[in-house]
Amino acid sequence: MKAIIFAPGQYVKIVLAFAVMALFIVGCSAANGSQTSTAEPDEVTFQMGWIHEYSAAGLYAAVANDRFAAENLSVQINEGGFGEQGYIDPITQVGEGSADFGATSAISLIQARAAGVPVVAIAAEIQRSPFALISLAEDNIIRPSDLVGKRVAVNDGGAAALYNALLLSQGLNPDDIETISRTTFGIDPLINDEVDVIGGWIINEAILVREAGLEPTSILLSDYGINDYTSLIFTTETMINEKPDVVERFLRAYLQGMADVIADPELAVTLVTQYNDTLVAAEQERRLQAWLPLINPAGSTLGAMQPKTWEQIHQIMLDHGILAEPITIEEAYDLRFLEAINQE
Amino acid sequence: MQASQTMELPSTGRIRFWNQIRWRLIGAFVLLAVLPMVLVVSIIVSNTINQIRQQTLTGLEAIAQLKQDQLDRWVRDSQSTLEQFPIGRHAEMMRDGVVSFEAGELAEGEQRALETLFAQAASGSSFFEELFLYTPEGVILASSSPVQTGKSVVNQPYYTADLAESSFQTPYYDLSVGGLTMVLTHVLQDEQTGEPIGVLAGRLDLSTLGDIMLERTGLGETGETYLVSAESNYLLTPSRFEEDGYPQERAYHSVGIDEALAGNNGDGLYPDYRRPGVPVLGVYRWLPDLQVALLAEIDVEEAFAPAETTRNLGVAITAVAAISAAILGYMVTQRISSPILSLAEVALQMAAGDLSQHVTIKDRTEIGLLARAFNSMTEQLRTLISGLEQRVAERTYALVVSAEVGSNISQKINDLDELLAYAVEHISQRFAVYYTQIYLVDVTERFLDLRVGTGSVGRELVKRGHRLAIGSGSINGTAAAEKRTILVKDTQTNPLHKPNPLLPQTRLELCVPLVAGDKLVGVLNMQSDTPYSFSEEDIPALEVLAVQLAIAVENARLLQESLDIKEQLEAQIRQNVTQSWGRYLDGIHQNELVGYRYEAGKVVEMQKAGARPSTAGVQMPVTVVGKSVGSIGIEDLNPDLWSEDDAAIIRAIAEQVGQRIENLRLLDEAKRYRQEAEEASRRLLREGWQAVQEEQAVTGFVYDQYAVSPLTDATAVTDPTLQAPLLVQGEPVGFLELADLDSTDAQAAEFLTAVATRLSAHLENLRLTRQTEEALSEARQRTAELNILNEMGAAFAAARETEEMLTLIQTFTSRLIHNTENFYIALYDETLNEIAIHLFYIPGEVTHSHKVENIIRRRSSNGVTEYVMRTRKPLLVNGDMALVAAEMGFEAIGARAKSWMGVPLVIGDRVLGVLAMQSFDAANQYGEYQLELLMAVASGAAIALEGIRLLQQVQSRARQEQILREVTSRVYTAVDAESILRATAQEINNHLGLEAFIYLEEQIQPDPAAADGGNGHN
Repeated sequence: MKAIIFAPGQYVKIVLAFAVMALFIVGCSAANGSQTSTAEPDEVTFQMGWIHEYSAAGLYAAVANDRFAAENLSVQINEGGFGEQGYIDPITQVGEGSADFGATSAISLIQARAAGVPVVAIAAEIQRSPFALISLAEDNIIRPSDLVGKRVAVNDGGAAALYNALLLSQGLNPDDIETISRTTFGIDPLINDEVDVIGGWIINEAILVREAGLEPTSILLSDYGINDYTSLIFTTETMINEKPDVVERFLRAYLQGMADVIADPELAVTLVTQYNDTLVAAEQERRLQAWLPLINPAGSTLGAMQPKTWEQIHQIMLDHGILAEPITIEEAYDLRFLEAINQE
Repeated sequence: MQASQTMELPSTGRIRFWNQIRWRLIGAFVLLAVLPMVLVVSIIVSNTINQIRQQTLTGLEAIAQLKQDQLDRWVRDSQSTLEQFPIGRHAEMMRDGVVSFEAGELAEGEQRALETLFAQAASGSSFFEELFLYTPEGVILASSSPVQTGKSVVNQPYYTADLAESSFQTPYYDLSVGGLTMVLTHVLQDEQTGEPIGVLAGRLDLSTLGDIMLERTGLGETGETYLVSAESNYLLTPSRFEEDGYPQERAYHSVGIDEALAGNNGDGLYPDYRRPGVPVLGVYRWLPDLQVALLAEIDVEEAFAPAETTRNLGVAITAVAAISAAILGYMVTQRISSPILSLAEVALQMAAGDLSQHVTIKDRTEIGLLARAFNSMTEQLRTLISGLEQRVAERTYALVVSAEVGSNISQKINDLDELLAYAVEHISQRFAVYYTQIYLVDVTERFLDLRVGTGSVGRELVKRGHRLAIGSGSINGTAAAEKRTILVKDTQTNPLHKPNPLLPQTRLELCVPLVAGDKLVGVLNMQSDTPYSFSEEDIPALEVLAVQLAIAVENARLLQESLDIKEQLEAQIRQNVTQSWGRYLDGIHQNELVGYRYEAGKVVEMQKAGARPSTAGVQMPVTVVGKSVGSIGIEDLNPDLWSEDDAAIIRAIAEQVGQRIENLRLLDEAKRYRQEAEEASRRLLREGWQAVQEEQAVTGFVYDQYAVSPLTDATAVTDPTLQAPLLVQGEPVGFLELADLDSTDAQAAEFLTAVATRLSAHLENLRLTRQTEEALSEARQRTAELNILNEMGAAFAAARETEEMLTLIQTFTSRLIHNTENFYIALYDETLNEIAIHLFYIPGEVTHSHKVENIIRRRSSNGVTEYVMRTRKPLLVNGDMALVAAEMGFEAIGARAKSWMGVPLVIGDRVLGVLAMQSFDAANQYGEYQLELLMAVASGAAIALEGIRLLQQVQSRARQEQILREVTSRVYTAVDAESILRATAQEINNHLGLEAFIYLEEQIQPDPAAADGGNGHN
C-alpha cells in the first residue's frame, strides 16, 4: 500500500484548507440557524418617551444582540424628547398609528384611555417608582413626618397626586407643609436653599446632588406604599387584537434585551453612548446602576405589573382630581403576554 | 595562469555562521545536551505543576467547604437568635390591637422602648445590623434604625401577606437601604390563637459575612474567598482588592462566577473577575439556600511558584549543560574545521592563480589523508596547467600569426603577386617551415597552378610552370578536390606523399585549401623538415589563415577585374565622348571649330575672326573625361614665366570649362534626341492614323440636317464655308467642315474650333483604346501560347517512344499553329542517308509510322527539306516555290506549294530532321511569328528525340548485355562440350530469333596442295 506523504508545508496548507472549509460550513450553518424563518421580518416602530439615554438600554441591547431579529422583527426606534412641534408624546404617536409601540407612564396612559385613546400597557419597564422626596442629608429629613414645616417643591400633576397620597397615608396635614409647585428642572432650588425638599427621581435628581458633591437623602414614596409605573411599554388595542403574535414577539425580545443589560451593564452603557455620543459614559453608568434595582426588583420578574398597583394609581388619580371619571382600570393593562413569556 | 578577472571567488569569511561546520557541530553538541535536559525539566515541571494544581485545588476545596459551613452556621445561628429574641410584652401589645400603625396611636414610649430594644440587640449582635417589627399589613412599627419606622415592606421580597411562616430572604438589593441585604423574618403568633400578629425581622449583618470570607488562612498572599449574589452578579462580600477599585455594587463575571451562578460546582484555571483578568486556580460552588456563588481562588502565579522555582532551576541546569556542551563542542570542532578551512584557503588561493600553495596539516585522521591527497592533486594541477599554458601559447601564437599575416595580406590586394610572395615568406618564417608554396586554381578549374614558392626552389618551380590536377592524384589535388586540409605528419610513412627532388628534406607536408565562401581559390602547401612538427591542433589556425588568404586572393582578382572593367569603361566613355563631340561639332548643327579670343579689350568669335587657334605660348587643354576637346591658350607668354599657381588657376578654369561645355553639349544632345523622339512619335501617330484610314471603309460622315450619311465623293462638301482641322498632337488627322454659313461668323468659327478640338481628342482616345485592346488580345494569345509551350516541354520530357513523341509534336503544333493543312515530320537517317517522313498529316487524319506503308522514304536529295537540313536554318516561302527554289539553289520536288514553312530539328552538331507544313491552295499562309512558334516546337522536339534515341540505345545495350549474361550462364552450367554448343545455339535462337549453327573444328593448316587444288579437309 502506497503511503501518501506530504511535504511539511503542504500539511499546513491542507490543515488551513480544512479549517477554512469548516469555518465556512459552520458559518453557513450559523447563518442559516440564526434565521428563524425565511419570511420577511415584521416591521414595527417604537416611540421612545425621551431622548436616547440609559433608560432605553434595553431596546439598544435587544437590537445589538439580535433579539428582535431572532423574533423576525425589524424595529425602528424613534427618539423622543422635543421636536419642532414640542414634546413628542408617545401616546399621540402610537394612537395615531405613527408608531406601533411606545413608552409612557401609567398616569399618562390612564389619562389617555379616559380621553378615549385605546392604548394598553403590556409590561412595566420600571416596576418600583423612582419618585422620592429628595433633600440634603445635612437637613436630616429622613421620613415623611420630617416634612412638617419644610418647603417642598413638587411638579404638578401626577407627582403632586402621589405626593399628596403620601401625606395622606402618613396622616400628615398638607397645611403643615409649604408645598410649592416645581416649575424648573434641575436641583438648583435645593442647592440654593430655595426649597428644603424637591420631588424628583432617585435615578436623576439624587444623582445630580451627589455629582454636585453633596449627599442626598431620599424618601422613596414606594417605601411608604405609594408606587407608580413611571415607564410602561404599551401598544394599541388594535395591535393586540390583530397582531397578538407580533406583540408577544416584540415583548419577548425587549425583555431579553433588558436581561442583557442586567447581565452586562457596562456593555449597555457602551450601546447608549453609541446612540447618543453627547452623553458622558460615567454619568450614564451611575444612572443605569441606580435604575437597575427599579427595573429588576427582588422577588419579581422583568416587566411584571401588579393589579394592586394599577388600582392604587387609578384611585390616587381619582382622589386627587387628575382623573375626572373612573375608567375600567383592568382594561388599561394586559398581562397575557407576560404570562405567556414567563411560562416558557 | 591567471584566473579570470571577471570571476568572483568565494571567501571562507563569507560563509554564514549557520553554514559553517564548526557552528553546526557546536549546535549539535548543544542540542544533544539541551534536548534531554529540556525534556526532563519539562516533564518534571509538568508533573510538579499538576501536583501543585491538584494540591491547590484540594486546599481550595477544603477552604470553600469550611467557608460554606461557617455560612450555614451563621445563618442558623441568626435564625435561632431571631427566634429567641425577647419580644415579650411588646408582642402582647401587638396582639391587643395595635396592629395597624397610625402615627401617634402607638404610645410613644412603647415605640421608643421597642426601638431601644432593637437598637441594643442589633448593636450587640454579630448577626443583625437592624431589627424591626412590622405589622401583618407590612408597616414597620419599630426599628433599630428609626428611619425605617413607618415604611411599608409590602414590596419587599420577604413580605408575604399571609405571614405563613418565617423566612430567610436571600440577598437582594433593597432600595431603602441602598444596597444588598439579607433579611430573616420570624412570625409572631398569638400564643393562644396562633394567629400571626406581626413579624420580627432582622437585617443580617453582611459585614460578618465579609469577615468570614475575608479570612484568608491557607490562602497565601493572593488567595481569597468571596460570595457573588445572583442579584445582578453583585459581590455579597468585599473583594480583597476592593481598594483597587472593585466595589461590591457592580456586576462581576468570570468563568467561576458564571458557572456557579448557573448552578454548577467545579474548579479550574481561569481568569478571575479583575480587569484585566488574572489567571487563578479556583473552586466555585453554588449555595442554593443563599442564592449565592461561593468562590475560593488563588493566583496561578503564587500557586505555581514552586513549579516556577523548579523550572528555573531546570533552566539553569540546562543552560549550564548547554554552555558546557558548547565549549566542549568548540574544542572538538576546532580540530575538525580548522584543517578544512586551511584546505579551503589554499584552494581559493590556487583558484586565484597561486599554484605554489601547499597545505601543511599534520593529522593522522581522515583530515590528514585529505590534506595529503590535496597536495598531490595540486602538484598534478601545476603540471597540467603548465602544459596547457604552453599549448595555449602555441595555439595563441598560431592564431596571432594567422591574424597578422591575414591583416597584412589584406592590404596588398592591389598586387596579387606581391600578396602571394609576402604570404609564403611570412608563413615560412613565422611557422618555421623550410618551404611554403601557394597554388591557385586555373581558369578551367581543373588544375592548380603554382604561383609562388619560397626560395630558389619556388622560383624554379614557378618558372617551370608547375601545375597539378585537381583530384586524387596528389595531396594538393586531393585537398583541393575535397576542400579539406590534409596533414602528412611523416612523409616517409605516408604513401600519399610524392617526394620532390627539389625538396628532399621534406618530412612533414601540410595542404590547406584556400576556399572563399564555396569557391576553391587554391591550396596553401607547407613543408617541414621535422616530422610531427605540426598536429591537428594547429590546423584551425592555419585554416583561418587560409580563409583570409583565399579572400585576399579573390579580392585581388576582383580588384583587378574591376580595374580592368573600369579601364574599359573609361576607354569606352572616352570613345563615346570623341564620337559625341565629333557629332556635335559636325559642321551642320555646330561649327567644327568653336572658339573665342580676347583681344583689344573685347571678346571676338574665333571663327569670325578668321583665325585658327594658336599653339604658341601656354596651352592648357580643356578635357572631358580625360579626352581633350579644346584648349585654353595664352599667347605671347614665355612658358618659363609660367608659375605653378597660374597653372593651377588655368587648369581649374579649364576643368570648369570642360565640365560646363560637356553639360551644355549633353543638354543640346538631349534636346536633339527629344526632337527626334517627338518626330518619331508624330510619325507613329501619322502611321497609326494612316492604318486606321486604310482599315476604315468610311473615312468620314456628312450631316445634311436630315441624316448622317457616310462621306463619299457624292456627299462630300465641295465648298465648305468654315473648316477646322482635327489635330492630334499637332498632326492633322482630318477636317471638320461646315457649309452654308457666314464665313465671317466668328462665333460659329469659334464653336467649330471647339467641336473640332473635342472631336480630335475623342477620336484619338478611341484609336488608342482600340490599339490597347489589340495589344491586350495579342498578349493573351501569347500567354496561351507560352502555356502550351510549357505543357509541350513537360510532355516531351515524359515521352519514352519515338512514335509517342511524333504524335506529341503533331498535337502541340496544331494547338500553336492553327492553319496546319499539310504537316509532316521528316527524320534523317545519317547512316542510310535517307529521309523518312514518319508523319503525314492531313486535317482529320493522323498516320503513324508503325504502318510501314505510310512512311515515305527516299534518299536524301536536293529538295526543300534537304535544303533546310543542310542550311540548318528555318525557311518561310510565301509565294512561288519554284522561284524561291531557283533562287536558293534547291529543287522543288513534288507538288508546288503556295505556302511552305519548315524548321530543322538540330541537336548539337547533328540534324535529326525537319518539321514542315505547306499549303497548296493559298499563299501567305504563314508568317514570321508562326515560323518562330514552329522553331520553338522543333527545339524541344529535337532534344526529346535525341533523348529517346539515347535511351533506346542504352536499353538496347543493356538488353544485349542481359542476353550475353544469360547465354553465358547457360553455357557455364553445361558440363560438356556438346551441351555447351547445344545451349549456345538454343540461347541465340531464344534471344535473337536467329537460327544459328555452331561447330568446332581442328585448326586446319592451309594445305599447300589445296591451294593448288589439292584435297583438304574442309
